[in-house]
Amino acid sequence: MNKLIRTEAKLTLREPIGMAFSLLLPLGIVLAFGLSGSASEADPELDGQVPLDTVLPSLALALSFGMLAVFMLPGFMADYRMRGILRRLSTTPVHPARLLAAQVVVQFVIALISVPLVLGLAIALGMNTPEQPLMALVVIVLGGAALFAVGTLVSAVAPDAKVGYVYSAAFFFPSLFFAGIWLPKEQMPDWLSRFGDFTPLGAFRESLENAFAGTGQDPLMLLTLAVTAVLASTIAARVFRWE
Amino acid sequence: MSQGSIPRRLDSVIEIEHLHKRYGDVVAVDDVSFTVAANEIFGIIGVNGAGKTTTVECLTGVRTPDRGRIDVLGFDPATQRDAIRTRVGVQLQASALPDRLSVHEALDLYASFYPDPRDPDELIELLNLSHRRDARYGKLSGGEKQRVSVGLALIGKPRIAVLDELTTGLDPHARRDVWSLIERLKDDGLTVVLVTHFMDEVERLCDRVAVIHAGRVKALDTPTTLARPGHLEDAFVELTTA
Repeated sequence: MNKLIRTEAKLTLREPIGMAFSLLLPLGIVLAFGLSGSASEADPELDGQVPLDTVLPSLALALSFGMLAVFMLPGFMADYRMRGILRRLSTTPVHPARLLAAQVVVQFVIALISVPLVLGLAIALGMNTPEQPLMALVVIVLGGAALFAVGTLVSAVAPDAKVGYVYSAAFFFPSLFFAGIWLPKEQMPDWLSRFGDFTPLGAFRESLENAFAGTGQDPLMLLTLAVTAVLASTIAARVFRWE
Repeated sequence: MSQGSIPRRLDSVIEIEHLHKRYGDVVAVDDVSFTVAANEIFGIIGVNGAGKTTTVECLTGVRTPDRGRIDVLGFDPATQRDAIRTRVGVQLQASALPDRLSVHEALDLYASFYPDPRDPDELIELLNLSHRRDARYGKLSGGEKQRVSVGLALIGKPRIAVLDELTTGLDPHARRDVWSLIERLKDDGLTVVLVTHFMDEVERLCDRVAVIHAGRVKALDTPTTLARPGHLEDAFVELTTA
């Protein structure tokens, strides 16, 4: 299993564009918006929050976790299925599920690398250090589990890379909206904003923001993440096509 | 040939009796029986859709038969998959490695899947790929890729190797290289099941060959008994017409 993980890590590093994009885009967002002075001031349109302390870093992390879990992971798995690598593995003593597990480990680790990068950059720009770092860690693990379970589900049901990409996009872009990336949640109608709290990406970003600001967690959002993780991975395990 | 029970041979490593497999309404394998002796190179030929690949998939445990008995080295491939997978090496038709993996990395990775693997570097030497050891799979020629895929089938020190379309797409030189590799492995005691479309390959390599047609064994004998040397293709076409 270790050799499989090392091999997947090497292969990911040899195809660095997707990974670099997933790491650099969030940093770019923090940098572009964080440099403007208003990012460090309380914003009345965000109910008096300081964007650099809450919205910006949580949004950047939601982006990197989302891209790695929902695009990179299914992309690799669809390629492996199409090339017959999963079928090839099923004739060896190693079940192809191990390859999926190795991919999840590798992409999750890359996503975790984005945490110190994003927070480091934001803090360098004047972000207040997160109020509840431990809670932030819990949210990252829970949210990561939820998003990677969704990515696994896409890998399980997509017949090929193209359809997989459509499934990923159909999940990801509306999720971005509900996570408040196009329109700050504070400016959405209450019902819409509340609905977004129960989407995996929205719940992840919002809970992360709460941990950064130290405002306390909404247990329903954490439950959303846990339920997504369990439900999506259970369905994926049942329907995964290993050939 | 496919009727009646097969006399049990003491040295047989594969025994298939009345194998039947259907996909929905389509009968892929109707009734196939044969045995393969230890250290034999056993050929399977037949037109596309005759049931060759399904037969091979059932004996490697990739598919479960609907009826019939299969015994591979004393194991039932349908229920004792792990035992089969450590003892039977499989080479599949399609290329099945990531382009960015090197030859050595691929064999080294697959070696880690087996309890008692061959040394990857020795196998690379045997496959005549030493000069391509660190080349990426995607950069290899068709013949080199094929040799890597034969290597993956052999890395776990299998007792039996199942090779599907071993030399399809290879130039004459590469084919002869792969053939002499198979002959050397037979000398080392390997049993080979070879699925192929090439009659010259059967005449050169196979001790016995089964002609599978419409899901049944139409003929099973040594290549020289089935036809005069060089005339196997005529005999094959005759056997598999109508």
